[in-house]
Amino acid sequence: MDMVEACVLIRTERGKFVEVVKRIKQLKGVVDAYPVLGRFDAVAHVSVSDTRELGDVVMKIGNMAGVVFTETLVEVEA
Amino acid sequence: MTKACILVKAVPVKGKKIVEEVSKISGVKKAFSAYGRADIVVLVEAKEYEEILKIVDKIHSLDGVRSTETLTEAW
Repeated sequence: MDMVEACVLIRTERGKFVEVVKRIKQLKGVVDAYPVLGRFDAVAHVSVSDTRELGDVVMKIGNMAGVVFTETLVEVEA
Repeated sequence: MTKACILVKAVPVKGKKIVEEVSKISGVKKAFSAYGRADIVVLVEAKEYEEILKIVDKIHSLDGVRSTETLTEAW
């Protein structure tokens, strides 16, 4: 089956990223999540069956306490 | 094990070729084209930080790559 891959870039509140990453890792569809250094505070690699499901995952991340905003880079077939 | 997410900005049209080339580099777990801030997303897993630097260097040397932004794993 064709999967939709995405990279979700996450900015968290000060000092909250370890906690946020822990919770993101438990979400269905999240392959990997880790805190990062740079413009963002955490990155989540998501693999789901369609964009609807991707929307669900991104909404769940965005609604988490400690998350300020997210930016999603969705795979396109080049 | 150190992980990193490398955001690549590329010259239009060259995207597909770059994804193919990047996918061949050892340590690259996944590479795909995307819409948004970056044209290509590269997910890397390396034994040590130095290896990630080498991968970034390799990506930079590819034809059509404009700029990269590396988000390296913290802790």
